[in-house]
Amino acid sequence: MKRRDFLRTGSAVIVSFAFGGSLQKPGLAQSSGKPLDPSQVDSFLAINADGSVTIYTSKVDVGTGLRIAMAQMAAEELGVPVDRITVLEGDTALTPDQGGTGGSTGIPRGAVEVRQAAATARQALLSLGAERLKRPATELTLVDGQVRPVNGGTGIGIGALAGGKRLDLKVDPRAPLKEPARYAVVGKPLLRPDVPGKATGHRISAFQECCMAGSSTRRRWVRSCYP
Amino acid sequence: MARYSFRLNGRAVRVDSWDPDQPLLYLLRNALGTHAPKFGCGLGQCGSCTVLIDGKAARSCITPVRQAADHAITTLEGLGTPAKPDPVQAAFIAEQAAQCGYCTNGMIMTAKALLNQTANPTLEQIKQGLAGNLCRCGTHTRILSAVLRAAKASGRRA
Repeated sequence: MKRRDFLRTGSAVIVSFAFGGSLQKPGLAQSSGKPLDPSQVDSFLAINADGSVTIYTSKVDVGTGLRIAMAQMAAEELGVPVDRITVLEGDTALTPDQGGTGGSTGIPRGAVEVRQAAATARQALLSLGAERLKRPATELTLVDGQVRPVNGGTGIGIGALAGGKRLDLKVDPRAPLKEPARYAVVGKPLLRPDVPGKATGHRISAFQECCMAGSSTRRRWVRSCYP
Repeated sequence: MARYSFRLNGRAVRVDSWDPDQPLLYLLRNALGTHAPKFGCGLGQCGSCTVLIDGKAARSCITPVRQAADHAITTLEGLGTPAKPDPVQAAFIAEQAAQCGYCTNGMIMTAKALLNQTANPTLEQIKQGLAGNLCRCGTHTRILSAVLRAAKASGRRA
């Protein structure tokens, strides 16, 4: 065997090892024990130490705008700016199983479940803030990622209150939702985060992620969706 | 194996191919790492593989590599970046003129070639210019608005 041929074979072996390693990642994530049960708030969202929020959903955005819409709905209930929210989609080793993507169920099922979890989290964050600020929760509000007195005064960020910790709560189907008349984020036509990549070729299209993942050299995710 | 040289997005590239009839698209995607041009129909009928060859729109899925040799190829990646988009790309972003994004490459490249030739096209001219580019999501009206917007933006700059 020539040296060059040997190197070619060698590099091919390395590639296949790297691919095998990447496939195991979801399994490792699963063993981290993140709740996936759709009755738990922690299955749908995590408050990070820096005050940002991660939303977990099994519904995927295939160019339909679900990612920004779901972030808007969660932002509205949580009182967190949209740009502090990341939506992690599609990998049911990390997300609750809300069913596959299709039939226009992304908002009415996927985002509505996330919204109820966010509304439950809001009440919990107000209670945590009440303890820390030593004021009744009824005198507090949650805006811009901070629990603060309605009448002004020092507040506390949600990252400091609950960042990196589990809320360990069941989703409360009766947790109050914001009244549509008071919506500040939902209903605004915010720009979708996927369009700049699609318009410049610096991110491959949703369709390709779905259907051509096997031939892609850059991506390892395989998404389930309708082509 | 024959070696073909051309310019790709401003830089000189060389690729090897056993087959002078190998579609340019295959080399762009598999050898050169430009993944914006898409394989759609493979028959030159849908437009998702469109690139610019010397500024003119060409279907890279039916362009043999030997025909591309010694020419200047531009792909969507070569027009601009998310941080610094080309005016046509900026117009598509502003109008949110993409859904799944599969046809977007061809729509923008064909629009770019159209605007290179006709700086201020009418709506009818844009429709005719993009008639050979298929979109299955239904983004057509936004795409037309984006091309009109790009033409207006270019007019203001000139």
